[in-house]
Amino acid sequence: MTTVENSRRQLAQLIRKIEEGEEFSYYTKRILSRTIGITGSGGVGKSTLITRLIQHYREKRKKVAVVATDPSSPFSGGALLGDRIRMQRFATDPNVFIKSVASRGKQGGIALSTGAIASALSESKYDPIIIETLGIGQDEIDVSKLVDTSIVMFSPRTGDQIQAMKAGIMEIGDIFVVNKADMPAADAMAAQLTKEISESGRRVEIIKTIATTGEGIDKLLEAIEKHQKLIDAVGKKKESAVYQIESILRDKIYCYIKESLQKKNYWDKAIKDIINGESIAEIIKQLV
Amino acid sequence: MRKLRIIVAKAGLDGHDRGAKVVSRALRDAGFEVIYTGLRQSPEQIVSTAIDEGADFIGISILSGAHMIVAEKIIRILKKRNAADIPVFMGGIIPDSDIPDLKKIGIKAVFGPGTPTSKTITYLKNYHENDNS
Repeated sequence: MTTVENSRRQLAQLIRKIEEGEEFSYYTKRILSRTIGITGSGGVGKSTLITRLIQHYREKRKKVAVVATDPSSPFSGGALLGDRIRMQRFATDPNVFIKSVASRGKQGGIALSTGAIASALSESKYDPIIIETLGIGQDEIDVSKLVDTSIVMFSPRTGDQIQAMKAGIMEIGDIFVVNKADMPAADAMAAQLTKEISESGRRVEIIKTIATTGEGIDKLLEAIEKHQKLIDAVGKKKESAVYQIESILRDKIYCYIKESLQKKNYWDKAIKDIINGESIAEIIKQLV
Repeated sequence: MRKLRIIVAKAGLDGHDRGAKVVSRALRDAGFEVIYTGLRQSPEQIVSTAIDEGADFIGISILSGAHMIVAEKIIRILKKRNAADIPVFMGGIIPDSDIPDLKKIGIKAVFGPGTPTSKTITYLKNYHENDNS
């Protein structure tokens, strides 16, 4: 066994510890590598687009990592993680590291540990690090707080003008991608996004791609490069660190409070009392 | 407590994935995090995936008849990569007469057609507790 293989397993085991909440130090370590977020509804083509990006960065001889999120079941706590199916041809590439994470009850489109996992990958010199969200709805925008460049993906025929005016994902994204651009409604979709963006006053590039054939990927890469240069000039976002620390504190403090209330039976009693007509405001006052 | 993470993989030239999907779904519903690799995976891909994903188990579904060769390769690569502590179990069309040989190679368990998914789930949940390794 070579040391390369050894360190790779060590990295994987470290990531597992971060994921299981046994190792916290990476929540406060800066992610020095470039980070790219990919978000969009389920089935829009995120994983397929990512394989194109991996291919490009490998041609440039970069060490690239992917952290891909899929949802955990709120019922069983289990998950089926299938993002890497499309990326499996890179599974044996020593310079590609793909990690699947389950959301484990965290809202926002990424797991609690995603940022800390990215820090560990950054420490191991993976650069860039691509972060894929689970297939989102409308307000899962946490990835934009974490990464340098966030890409929001759309596919044609997914909504009218009012959809494009809603808050949430339309307000994030440094680059918009209209994937499946071979579908007839792609131009209309792109036009609608252009209009919405110009009215919002934000500067967002809109790029049409066909991830399955690779069409438009060169334009997307140009846009990513351009945005990363901007980041290099102004420095990484400060809010990323704050977001990470806030998320972990919120999660741990909530669990701690809930557990301690449950130990004294206060939690279940509070719920029962509220069902039986006690005022929520009153119960909250008592608990706090 | 740690979540249990498991790789479910289809090895080699074998397109029959109904069984693997049934098992994956049952494990998901039992609280496992199942990493499904999809079809036609090489032993190298399966082992790399298990290592990178920090998996607690590797489950191989195979109906092509190549189970002996695949099992031997996977166990060999696991050893080579210092990851022989990740237990491997199999399912699919595997003749009973081959099971002792598979176990000799290092396969921990074989779950053939008709195995209730609850049996597989119980086996996996108890595995690390009983420290069968």
